[in-house]
Amino acid sequence: MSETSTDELTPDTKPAKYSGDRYFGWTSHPKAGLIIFIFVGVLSLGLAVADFFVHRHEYIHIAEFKMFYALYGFIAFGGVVLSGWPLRKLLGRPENYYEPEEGESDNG
Amino acid sequence: MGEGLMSLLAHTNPGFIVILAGMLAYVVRPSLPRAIITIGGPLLGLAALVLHGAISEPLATLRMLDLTLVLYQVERASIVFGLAFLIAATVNSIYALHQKDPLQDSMALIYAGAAIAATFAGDLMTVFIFWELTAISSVFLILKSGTPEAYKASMRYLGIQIFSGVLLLMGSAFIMGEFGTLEFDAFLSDGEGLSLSDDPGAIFLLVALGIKAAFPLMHNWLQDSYPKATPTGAVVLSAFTTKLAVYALLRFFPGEDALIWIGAIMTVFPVFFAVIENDLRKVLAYSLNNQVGFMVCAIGIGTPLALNGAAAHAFCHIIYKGLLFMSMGAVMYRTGTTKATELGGLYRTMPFTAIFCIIGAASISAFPLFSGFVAKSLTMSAVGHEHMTVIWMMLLFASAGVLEHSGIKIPFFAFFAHDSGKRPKEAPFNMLLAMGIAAFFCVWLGFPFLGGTEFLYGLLPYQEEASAYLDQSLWTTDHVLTQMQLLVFAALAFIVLNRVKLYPPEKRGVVLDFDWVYRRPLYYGLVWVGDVWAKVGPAMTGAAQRLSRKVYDRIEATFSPQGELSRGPLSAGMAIWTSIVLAVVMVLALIAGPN
Repeated sequence: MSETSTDELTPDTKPAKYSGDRYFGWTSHPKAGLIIFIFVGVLSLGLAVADFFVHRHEYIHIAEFKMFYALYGFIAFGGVVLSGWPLRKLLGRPENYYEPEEGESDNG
Repeated sequence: MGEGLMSLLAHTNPGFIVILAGMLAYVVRPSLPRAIITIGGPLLGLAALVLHGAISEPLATLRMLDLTLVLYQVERASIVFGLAFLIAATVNSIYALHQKDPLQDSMALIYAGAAIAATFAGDLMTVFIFWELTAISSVFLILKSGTPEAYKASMRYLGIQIFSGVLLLMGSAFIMGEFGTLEFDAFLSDGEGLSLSDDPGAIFLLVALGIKAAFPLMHNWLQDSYPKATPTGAVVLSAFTTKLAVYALLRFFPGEDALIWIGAIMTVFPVFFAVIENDLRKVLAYSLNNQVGFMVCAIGIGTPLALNGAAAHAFCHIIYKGLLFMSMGAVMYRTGTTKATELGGLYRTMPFTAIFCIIGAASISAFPLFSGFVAKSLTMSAVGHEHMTVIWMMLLFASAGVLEHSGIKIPFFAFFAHDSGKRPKEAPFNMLLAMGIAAFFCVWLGFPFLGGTEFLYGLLPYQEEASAYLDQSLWTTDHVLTQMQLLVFAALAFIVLNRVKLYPPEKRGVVLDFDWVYRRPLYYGLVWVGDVWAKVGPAMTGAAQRLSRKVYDRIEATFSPQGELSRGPLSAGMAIWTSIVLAVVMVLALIAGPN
């Protein structure tokens, strides 16, 4: 850990304004999650509707089905994320599994 | 004078210039001159590449030990990789300006220079020399972390990398035996590579390259070592080793069928590990695996469109992957950790790092208008054109997976998600500048009408196919629409799963992978054998010594001049009778003659 500069790192105890709030402060708003959900939902709906109006030229037969990419993206992503639950049970181990004698390390 | 310098540059492998800069960077200690050297070296290398002489002809050779070393030969494919390496080396030097560490500066440049020199080599022996130099120089970037874990990981890394070099040398020996030379021109005729069935050395070369490219089951050196490197070291490491292997695969094994499946598997399996990994630099290491898989698969397809895809993907990947590692390096530098469980909410004080990270994430996810889109599309189209449905669906699945681990997980858990309460300073200016340059390339290469895509496609090995794809396929409505559908619906899945609390929360811990085999059973097996030998060994050695002494004494007592067989009349009589029988046999043989 010789190459870090954490001297200025102090826990935040009171609300304060930061330079980053100018760009991303809206993400801390209580309704931000819902707004993003609605935005992405509407965008998804638009892309789904567009699929019925745009002629697609596919080389892979299965991709010719309407909404194929949308459904595949949703299912693939969801499948990967949900697989995390059993996989973590199967493959997860304590942090000092390989180097118990050295104790914990922040460096991986 | 000017013309002489130009001519010298035109015939000098750019890698040599970068290596020389690396050596100077260790000797020159004052910050300003060292900065000039570390940034100026790769820039001079870029100038040398721009001025290079003829293509596909040896520009510098050396005769040594009955071998002709082709020290510099430029090919169309090597320009793509070499240029990306030189850009990465320059950006990395800017990124590392804040660190006052001559050894790291030096080793980073020597490592980069060795990879560049190997890219522009024209024979296997030159490749081998620089292949090993990349291993030896890069290990310092892990060692310099200074932790016991980093030390152990660096030793494992070094052992595996050197083993790869040994296999490369073995393969080279077979090639030498078969072709009588190690020059590429002799055994890579007309762009065709080696054949696993016809060329006996090919399998050794393939395994050597497979280790460096981190093929499945050979991949763990990457996840083991990169996250344990220094913040700048991980950035440097991410650019060169695996992409050098990809370049070598592209030269030696284009169209090798086995690579199609190897590459496809490489794209898929890291996705599952990345989703449960807590260390974000390790997530990036798995993501690196996944991205190299696309390139390996494209090389296996072997059509001009696919090989263009591999080269373009490598070029863009070197830059956006470097950008992602840079953003996590900045987080590491400022907070001392890259573990998702300890991060979150950093956008407040590191907004520019967050913006650059998001640009890198959008690029690697292949969102239209970013560099990943213009690169990955070539490979996906090439697989589609070959009607390989299963492979295509694997790559499409992996594309959604990339969005999960690199597109969303990295920026979300570091800069947003729950507030960790950490309020670090923004990254140093030099880090921001380096990230800004890389982010510029990500946008410039992918955004239409800026000329970047045309520039990239103009570099690709197969010009005709690249131009046709750019004009007719890349920016078509259906292509952009389908890519957006894939990514936006995948993002919708993330939001839905997050809102219904089905997204697995980040958790401290390690995730077992194939390295478990050699870090646990094999390691402890060898330790056990050592312990057993330490106890049994001395006793066995004593017993063996006593037994051999008895046998020797018995033989001596029987056959020595003073032994039993030499004593008494029996021995003399036997000698006489043996001589008589031998004489009779010889006389009979003489009489009988040859017939």
